[in-house]
Amino acid sequence: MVDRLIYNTVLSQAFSPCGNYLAASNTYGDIAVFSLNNVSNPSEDIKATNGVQHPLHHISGMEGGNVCSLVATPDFLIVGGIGEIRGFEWKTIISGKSEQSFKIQVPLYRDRSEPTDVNCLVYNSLENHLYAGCGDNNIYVFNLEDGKLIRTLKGHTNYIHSIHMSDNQLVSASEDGTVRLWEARKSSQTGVIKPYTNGRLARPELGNWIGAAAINDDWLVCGGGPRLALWHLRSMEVTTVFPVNDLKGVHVAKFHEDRVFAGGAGPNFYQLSLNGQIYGQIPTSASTVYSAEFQESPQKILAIAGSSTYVDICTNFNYLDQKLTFALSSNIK
Amino acid sequence: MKENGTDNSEPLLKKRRKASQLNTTPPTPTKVVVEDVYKSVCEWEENEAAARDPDKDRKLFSETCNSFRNYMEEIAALKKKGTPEAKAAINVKCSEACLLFVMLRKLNRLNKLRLKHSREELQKVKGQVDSQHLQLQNLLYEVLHLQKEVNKCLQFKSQDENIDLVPIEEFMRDAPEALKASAPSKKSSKEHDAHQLQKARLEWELTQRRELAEMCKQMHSQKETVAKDIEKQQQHLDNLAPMLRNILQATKPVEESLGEKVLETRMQHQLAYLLPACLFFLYVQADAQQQASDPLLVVTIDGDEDEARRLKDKSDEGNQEEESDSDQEQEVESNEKSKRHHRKRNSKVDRQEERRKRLLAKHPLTVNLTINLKDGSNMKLVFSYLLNLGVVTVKCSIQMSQPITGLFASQLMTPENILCSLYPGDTGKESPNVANDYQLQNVGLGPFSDFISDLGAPYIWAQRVSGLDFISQNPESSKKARIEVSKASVPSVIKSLRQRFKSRLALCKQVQSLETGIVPPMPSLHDQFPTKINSQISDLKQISWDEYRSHKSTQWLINQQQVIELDSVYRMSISHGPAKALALIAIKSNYPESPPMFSMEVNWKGHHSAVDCDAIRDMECEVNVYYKELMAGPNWVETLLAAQVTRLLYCFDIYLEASSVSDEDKKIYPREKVYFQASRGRARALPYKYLGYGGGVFTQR
Repeated sequence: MVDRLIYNTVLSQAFSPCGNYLAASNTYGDIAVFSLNNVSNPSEDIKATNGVQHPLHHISGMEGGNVCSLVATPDFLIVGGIGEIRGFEWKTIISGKSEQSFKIQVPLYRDRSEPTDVNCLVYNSLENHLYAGCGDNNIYVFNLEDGKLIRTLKGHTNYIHSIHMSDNQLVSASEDGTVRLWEARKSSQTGVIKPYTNGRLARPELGNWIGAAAINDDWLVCGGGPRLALWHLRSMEVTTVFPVNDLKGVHVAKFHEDRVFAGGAGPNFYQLSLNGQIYGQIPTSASTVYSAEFQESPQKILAIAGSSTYVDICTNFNYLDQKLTFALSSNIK
Repeated sequence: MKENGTDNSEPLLKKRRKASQLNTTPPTPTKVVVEDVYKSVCEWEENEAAARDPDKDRKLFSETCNSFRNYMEEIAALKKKGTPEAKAAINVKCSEACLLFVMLRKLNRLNKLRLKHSREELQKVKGQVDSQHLQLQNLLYEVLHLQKEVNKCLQFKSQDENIDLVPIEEFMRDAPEALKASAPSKKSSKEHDAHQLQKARLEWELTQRRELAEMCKQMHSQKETVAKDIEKQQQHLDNLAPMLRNILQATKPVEESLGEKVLETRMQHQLAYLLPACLFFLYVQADAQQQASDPLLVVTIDGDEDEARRLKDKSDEGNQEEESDSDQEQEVESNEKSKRHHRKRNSKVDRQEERRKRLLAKHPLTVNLTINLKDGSNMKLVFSYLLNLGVVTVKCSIQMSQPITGLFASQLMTPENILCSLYPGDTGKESPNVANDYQLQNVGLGPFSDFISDLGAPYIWAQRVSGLDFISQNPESSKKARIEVSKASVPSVIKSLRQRFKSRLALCKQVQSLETGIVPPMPSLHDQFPTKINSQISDLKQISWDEYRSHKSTQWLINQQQVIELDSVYRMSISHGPAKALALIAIKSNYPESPPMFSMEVNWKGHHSAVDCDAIRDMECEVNVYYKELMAGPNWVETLLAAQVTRLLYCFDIYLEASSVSDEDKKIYPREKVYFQASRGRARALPYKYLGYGGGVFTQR
């Protein structure tokens, strides 16, 4: 019997609000819940398995389908699947039950035969709004109070890879090769860049798609088929082309303080300065990194995951110090 | 005076001697006279010397000496006076002294003669003594020699003393009077008596022995005649056997027409009693299985019946016999050692060889299971019991209804391959009886695996169907075969064997077809595949484990133990236009329970595999993980491998079509398949999943 977990791909991760648990979802629709208490001070049985920690349990997030995205709210773990968004209470998740608390259907238009993928989720705690970047090229904004659709941000011509929010600015990266900026409250597009048209960035053999984009007050970082680059927000010009040539396709790009975290199809996960210096280079167990999440408290943890059974854990953001495996401990034996 | 006479003759004699010495001329007549005188004088002198008393002469000599001394003193005194009278007196005295001197001389001469005489006398006596002493010595030596001879004679042993004689009492009782008479009467002397008795007894012995020898000869001839008789009878019996067989043969058609296999089964059942316990259990259980539910199973017993009977008799005699056997053996061994010292090494080697042979000995009977399939192929399993190693081994042979032409396909049907890991971990390479390794070591042999080609493989299931349970915790149970163990496992094992054989056959056919580059048609799966597949198999080869392992794309599967060394590994080359791909296929021995594992290596714009390219990883996943969709229809076992290969081929089509971004690539690989999105989701998944509806649509999982 082939263990399907050897072809496991983790698309998304989320830390619990208390910071003691990590949820990771794979393409088979399972969510593995890991306890992070053992990461800083590993127990004896973990040492016995060469530091590979098994999840507490699996939760069925989306029966028989992808779990494409996860996001944590103070009370819920919100799961983006195909065609719907589900909410699980953290309490039930930690206790190991697969009981969902609510469900939001993603609108399905008649011209599409397939349900819509929810590729990325962002939670806005001020308004208690949920932003969902979807496979039907739209970004939907839901009110989590009642689950109703508030706005739809239209403009992309292919599916959305990722969205990111800073203050009221929303940035979205899409398969169509564009990165669009939105005024979140108004559903109006404020800007668009096309990295594949920039000669310094374009890699036509990999395609035009943009896998990840993120913004802060002044800067925007994005990459995908085209190279990972830092753009100045106001001038919309490329400031830095990051020298990470073994990153063949960018799927993760994030700001952390004055640094950029980036990962994707390649052997390493990078930590870069804004002017292009490489601060850290972490070899990953995944051949392609699809998800990297970090938290500062209660303990500093960076979790990197992708097309692998393993989730790599870095407690100081600089080097790999532990692995979590997706397989339940009984599966191994 | 006499002294004068001698005095005168003495100087004369001297003169004569001198003369005779100087003058060598023959003596003149006058001389002869003188000689005679001289002779007579000598004679006389000698006589005188003999006659005179030497003591008197000694006294006379001392007197003469004294008087001579006196004269000398007187003369000296007179000389001192120097007077003329004295001179005259000196003259007188001188002459008187001279006379005395003559006297002294005479005495001296006599003494000399006497001395000479007594010396001669002494010499004579001494000679006599010497000769007598010599004689004495000779005599003593002779005595010694004779004594030795006597001793030798006394010690001589006659042959007759070694002969065992009839005791005297019996002799006296049984011997004929004539002999007794010649034997002793008490009157004669004792020694003579004993001798005569001995002679008589010897005589008696001789006659008796002659009689016995005669008797022995007669007995021999009698024995021979009896032996001939027996032989004749035996021949008669032997001649009877084929006749009986003919009769039995003749009854067979009758029996068959009556629809009963009474005879055959009876023979088999009889043979079954000669089987060792474990094979007996197997036979009984398998036979029951055949009668109850499995008409395609054939159970027979084969082997040397006589040998088995002998073995059975021997073992019935019990262990004691065996022990004494080994004792004798040891004796023989020690004897041999002492006798043939020089051949020691040789015989030692022979013995070692013999012990090895004995250790590896099989029971002469085997139980044969033939598992027939409906298509006429069959698998024959020969179960043997190793008497001294205590394990059951299996040899397998395959007969196919259709010959296999494929080189690598036929590899799958080799006996060791087909039975490999029938149950997980049961490779049949090591003996389940742990003691065996030590037993083999003791006689200097290698591990059990060296003998599998000769003895057959000791699979654990083979032990279980024979009631041997080596895994059980209970140490008692591992030694004795138990029918419960056999009973519990026979049906399931036969089922597994049949399934394995079937699935192997199916696999074999698929591989054979793939070897020629053709994917066999799969009517039951037609809705699973698109109608047009552009990728083609250009080559399929079986490769070695080392080659398989050396590929970069397979290492992570090996590390995760998804593929192990026991699996059969193949390399399939796929081509579609300029793009080439290698599929490394590992077929598990328990196909189809575990499906074949595929690893892809794509040679198109660089060398890619699942390790560095998620699109290829997804392709592998599609084939390796979602194989269950291909297990449709009743005969999916016969098509699983082919279906997986087909899926891999169209996935490769999709890979090339959907990942072609540039215009040039799109020219080579135009979009022919129907799909909504070339990539989907954050992972940019390609539409590998085929949906049968609407003329065939591809989508992402």
